[in-house]
Amino acid sequence: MSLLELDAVEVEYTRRGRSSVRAVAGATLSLERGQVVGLVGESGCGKSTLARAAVGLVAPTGGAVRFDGETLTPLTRRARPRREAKLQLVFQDPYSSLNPRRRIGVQIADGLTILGLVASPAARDARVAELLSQVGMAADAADRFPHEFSGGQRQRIAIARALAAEPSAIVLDEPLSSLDASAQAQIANLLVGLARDLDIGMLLISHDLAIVRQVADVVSVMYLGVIVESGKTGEVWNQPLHPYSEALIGAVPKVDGTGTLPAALPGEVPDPANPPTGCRFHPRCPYAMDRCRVDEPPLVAVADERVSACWLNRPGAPIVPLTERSAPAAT
Amino acid sequence: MTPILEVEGLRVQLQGRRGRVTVVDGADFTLREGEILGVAGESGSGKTLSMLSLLGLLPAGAVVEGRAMFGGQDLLALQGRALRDVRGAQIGMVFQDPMTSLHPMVTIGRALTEHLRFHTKMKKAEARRRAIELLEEVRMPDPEGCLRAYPHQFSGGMRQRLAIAVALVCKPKILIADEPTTALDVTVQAGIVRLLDRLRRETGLSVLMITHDLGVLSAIADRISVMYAGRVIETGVKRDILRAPRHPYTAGLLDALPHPEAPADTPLLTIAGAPPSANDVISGCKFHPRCRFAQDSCRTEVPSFVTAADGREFACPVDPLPATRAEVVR
Repeated sequence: MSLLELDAVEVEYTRRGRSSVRAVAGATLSLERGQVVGLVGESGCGKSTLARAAVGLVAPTGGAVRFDGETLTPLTRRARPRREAKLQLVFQDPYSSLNPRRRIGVQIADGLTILGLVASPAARDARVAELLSQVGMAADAADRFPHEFSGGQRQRIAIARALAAEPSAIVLDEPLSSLDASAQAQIANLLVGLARDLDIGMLLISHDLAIVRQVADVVSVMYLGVIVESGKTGEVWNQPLHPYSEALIGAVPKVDGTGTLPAALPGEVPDPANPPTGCRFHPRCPYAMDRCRVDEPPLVAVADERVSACWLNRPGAPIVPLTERSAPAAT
Repeated sequence: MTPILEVEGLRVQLQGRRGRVTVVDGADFTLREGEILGVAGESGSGKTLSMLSLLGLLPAGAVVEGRAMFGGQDLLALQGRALRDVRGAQIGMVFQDPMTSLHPMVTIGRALTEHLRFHTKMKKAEARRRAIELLEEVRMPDPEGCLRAYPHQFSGGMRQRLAIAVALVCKPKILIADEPTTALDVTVQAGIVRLLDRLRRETGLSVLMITHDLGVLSAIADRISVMYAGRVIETGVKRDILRAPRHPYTAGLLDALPHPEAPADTPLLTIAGAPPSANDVISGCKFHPRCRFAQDSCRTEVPSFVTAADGREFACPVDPLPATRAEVVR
């Protein structure tokens, strides 16, 4: 049993007077304690919706989210079970996720007080100072306001606030994308360190493959509402088994000074309200066959801890680079 | 290659609430004909404001000093009609966010032809032909249909292509592109990077490309200037800058990038501390509080920009730069 399990999760948004949109169309993902899982994909692929479903901010319309073995209660006007406080969320933009009119210490202490984790005001202040030092901030930050800090520092504060609830899992929705390069590296290191030291599972959602490549143990690639490939980060990076993963990795410019142009992926992400038939990637796929236009490939295990949804994959067979494969005989 | 734009001693001061702040503090760079010059740096390093100052687009109350020679005239001294004749006609500009840089209530056709009609007194039909030609050049599907469409009908990547088309419509000699790919996905970014590279090769366009993404510059820039806290601290050929940086800040920026061949679970290297804000007063080299190699002289004297025997230009007295890599900061 995994700490956080997303089992064929679907999220459908209904729109007045228009057809509904399945932003997440059956995504399966799991997260263990102390593990960093990266979720990558282009904008509009449903990553943020999946993040919101993973913590219960939106109710899945299909499938299930299980945290610590029990089905997660979506957010409503009723109080949620206390145990679900162990699942926390960090938002993308630390400029809007912190209240500008409340002092840092007070915001971090909210979780401590509400959950009854501290016995006295003195213990609360000591814990706030400890949380701040865990994220690399000085204790005197507690008396200051968010505007006194840079983007990187604010993201540290947002992480400290999430840590206050003593979480076993944290979902982070693009926590690095509003930060500068040097701050990105620092926060990325902080996250990995926290995952290891405090044995927290982290689901890191990002469109920045280079960062995910460096910090995630396992990576899942999402396209138009579905997970198309998952595996150990290094293995996926070195030998992608889905044409979309291959295109995504090939588009990352390399800093080697040789002037190699990044590979272009033709076309655009289709409208999720009206997804293509068959494999959702087939209109942009360089390897598309007739079958891809009709049948949607299932996510199958192709190797140890490696799943991919592509008709070119043959489960159990040795892994062959995509470019060297021939289309299997029509079945 | 002959220089097309020479900027010397550029200083920009903005009017802040607590008096003037210096945001660009003596920047020098040269753009040569037909090249892509990358200007790299973190936010707040003054790269955007330097470019805006060249086009007279700074907010009211800004004070600009220095020279920017373009076609025999100093851009910084131009005003009114003379400035309008250069801006948009001879120098085009593309901004970071294609969602806001195109007017939402103006059709693509009008956005494209209005420049032409203003700058060249071209007839309507002729302007329309040029607009279609340009839309084909930036590889927009259905150029005729595009002319009647509004910006909201396009995705981010398509809008950035349209913004590039608008900037290029009067056949400018220089294109200034400010973080043109930052708001885009990596796959869309790849398309825009390839487009800029092709335009440069096919039309001999000179491009000033501002970005914090060294990967993008590695792909298309010819030379790179690195800015820190309002100053250019290193300039050189792309290969030299990326493979053997001479300034400790450039070296730190490169060390901080995720390394494709690094073994799993190696922490990213980082530069200690954070970039200074424009209000901070730092004596000597502005990088010295974060520099691992700072000497006594760095704290008091501004290092002069020197040209080494091999043509490298940098502002650092530490020579040669020790080969140790940056520390890990959490």
